[in-house]
Amino acid sequence: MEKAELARFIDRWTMEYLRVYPHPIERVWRAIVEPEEFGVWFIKGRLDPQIGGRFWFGDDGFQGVVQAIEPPHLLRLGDDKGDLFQYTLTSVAGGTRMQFIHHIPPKGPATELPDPGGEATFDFGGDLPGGLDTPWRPGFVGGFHDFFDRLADHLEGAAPGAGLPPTKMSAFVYNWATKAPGLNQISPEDIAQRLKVHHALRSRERWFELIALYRAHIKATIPPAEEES
Amino acid sequence: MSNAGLARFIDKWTIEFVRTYPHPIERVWKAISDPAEVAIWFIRPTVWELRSGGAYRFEDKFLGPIELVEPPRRIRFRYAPLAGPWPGADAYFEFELESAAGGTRLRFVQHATPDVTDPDEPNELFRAPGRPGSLGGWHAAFDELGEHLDGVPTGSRLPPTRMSAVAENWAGFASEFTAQQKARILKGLRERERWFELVDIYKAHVTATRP
Repeated sequence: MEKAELARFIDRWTMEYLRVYPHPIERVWRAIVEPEEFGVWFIKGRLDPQIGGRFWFGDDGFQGVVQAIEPPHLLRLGDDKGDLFQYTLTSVAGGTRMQFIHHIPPKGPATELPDPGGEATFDFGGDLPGGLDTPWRPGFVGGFHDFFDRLADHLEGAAPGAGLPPTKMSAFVYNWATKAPGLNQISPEDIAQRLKVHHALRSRERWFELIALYRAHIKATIPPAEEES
Repeated sequence: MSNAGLARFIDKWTIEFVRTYPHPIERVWKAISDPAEVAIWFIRPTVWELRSGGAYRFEDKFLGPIELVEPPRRIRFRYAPLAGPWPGADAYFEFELESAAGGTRLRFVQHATPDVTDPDEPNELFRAPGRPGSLGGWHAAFDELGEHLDGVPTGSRLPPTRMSAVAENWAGFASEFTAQQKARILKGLRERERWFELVDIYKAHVTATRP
């Protein structure tokens, strides 16, 4: 999934992710609306699949109302803070085209969330490379990109993140997970636990990579602000 | 890093590590002779009969008779071959302690029987006691002994790396593991990375310095 295109700006407050998954539209639809499916590749949560039904993703207040639902084509979610998330599915040659739109209504100037800074800490992508009047943070936008890669893995029947190519770090962690030095042995339970760590660290490394990609992408491609009259 | 803490070949079949720890000899002696302490900085002993002629065994790794014990100065171990003649009848390793300015000098000597075939090491250059993996393991153990004696967790003085930073970052979010599991995972990962680094260092060092 390395080649998946980066999300595109429709305007300064709307981003679009496009993917084609080689699976029937009904399969992709289920992966998007059923909690036991989206809990695997997205975030654990609940969704009442009817207009006016509520949804919750995680426990951090990311929740709202189903605004439109037309199986297996359209799902529009409006969160309680005013953000809009819309999936549109279309059958195409070779599978299903998914368009995901994220719209954040224009608000007052946002505040950058600078990372703690310093070499030893991490870049969570809390900055606003498109300007303080747009809401796009590399960490958030890159996180969604990663979710749709994870959806591809999930649809293939693989563990989310399994499709990522190895890196120097992931090869090291895999070695640690599966091989003990010398005559030592690792129990199968420990190997299973360590493989989870291996997948989690690979995903995290990918997220950091996406943050850097999107920081540059947002800055380079966001449409310019219009002059106020 | 300097070569100061690296093992040195005394002859082709004998290596030594020398470290000085800023602690009294009785304290260091306890750390190398009490199996509960040895388990912290080296490998857990599963058999530990601390007397001349007693037996020792480190988990499944290696075992044999303890040749002599002279508190608080010396313990010498011999090997019982796990299979075949290796590492040979003359092979031993020993800890030797001596009070020195500023603390206690530890000298560790490992000797292998000359020209005994090492079944796990086809490359003659790296035959015992010149195996980079084994030297790296001992090296890390003596670093960890220093941490243990100073009262800090073993491995805690290793500087952060990109890998350890990503792992720390992950651990901050991973709710499916307990704090204890996460601490063990982070320590294991960082120590393994250090060991890999030491193996590379010792490959070069043995190549350059083995007589």
